[in-house]
Amino acid sequence: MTDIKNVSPLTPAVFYILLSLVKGQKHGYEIMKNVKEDTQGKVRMGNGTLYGSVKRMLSACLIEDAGDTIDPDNERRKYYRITELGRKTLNIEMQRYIDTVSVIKARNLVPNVSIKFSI
Amino acid sequence: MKTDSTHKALTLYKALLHLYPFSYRKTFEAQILQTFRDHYRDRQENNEDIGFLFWADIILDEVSNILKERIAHLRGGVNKMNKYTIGITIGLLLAIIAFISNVVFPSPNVSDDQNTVAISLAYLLMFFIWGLSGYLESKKNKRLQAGAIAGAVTAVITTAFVMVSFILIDNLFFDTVKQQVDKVTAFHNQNTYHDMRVFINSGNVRALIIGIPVAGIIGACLGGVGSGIRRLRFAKH
Repeated sequence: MTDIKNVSPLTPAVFYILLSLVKGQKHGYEIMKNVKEDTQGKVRMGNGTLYGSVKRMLSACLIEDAGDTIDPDNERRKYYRITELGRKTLNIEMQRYIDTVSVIKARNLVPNVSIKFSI
Repeated sequence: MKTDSTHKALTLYKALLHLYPFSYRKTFEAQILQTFRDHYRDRQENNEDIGFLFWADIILDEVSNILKERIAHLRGGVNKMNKYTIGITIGLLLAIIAFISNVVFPSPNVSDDQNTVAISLAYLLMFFIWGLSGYLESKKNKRLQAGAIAGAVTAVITTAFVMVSFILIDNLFFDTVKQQVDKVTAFHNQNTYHDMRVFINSGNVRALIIGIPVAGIIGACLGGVGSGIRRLRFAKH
């Protein structure tokens, strides 16, 4: 059984993938689009990063294979879903972010910048 | 037209995926290709860039992940090795080096004294590997004794491979070997043997009888050190 302590803190890629899958099972390209939407286009996740992270998340039991589906466009796609451990890990990570934002706000350190980056 | 362009892009991308380790490709290739196809079509339909910048992004991202997967694959391979496979691998490697330096590219006029750096490096590599064998063994068995035995076994196998390869090289390629300056000098400075082949073989047999137990003792010490280092390393956590 994977311990949450061993997978936290999460890399940005793992965090955004979990954030995407918490809304329901998805295939690779849906996750990529979702990450772009969730970050208002500020984060672009490439195929290599996506599947490298998926591999590590599968072995850490944060996500699981939800099976192959033949979609309406007749293309076969593999879907992934978040596990209970993945959900718990995401909650811990989100709490960490919330705590950090509270500190930033309390110290009046909110920056006025917009950054675009790839992960 | 669009289908043709997608086909070409997929062929190019598929070629790039061949740089991943086979096990990774076996698990993920179909899904990665499907995701790329979805992405590429989406960009085509929305008239987004599929030129240089698009490919530069793809290649940079893939190359970084290919390197990560290659390193993970290599580390997994090393972790799966045991005292026997390490000994055989290093023994074979050193035997090949001995064959190349003595037979393929012989330098009969260069003595061992002029090659001290290369010879020292070969010894250091061997010692490091014997210690590594003890280190890896301690993952399975935490006792220092197990690490020492692993180091000794690896050392004996490595040394046996090297010694046997020298015996084979010296006999099968005698005409090349007999011109080596060190062997010629040693042969002329002794009175016991009158035949150079017999002289070389007696030296090899002596080296085999003394070298293997000595290597075993050094290997045991280094294996024990390797095992101890791993214990100390993980005792801190």
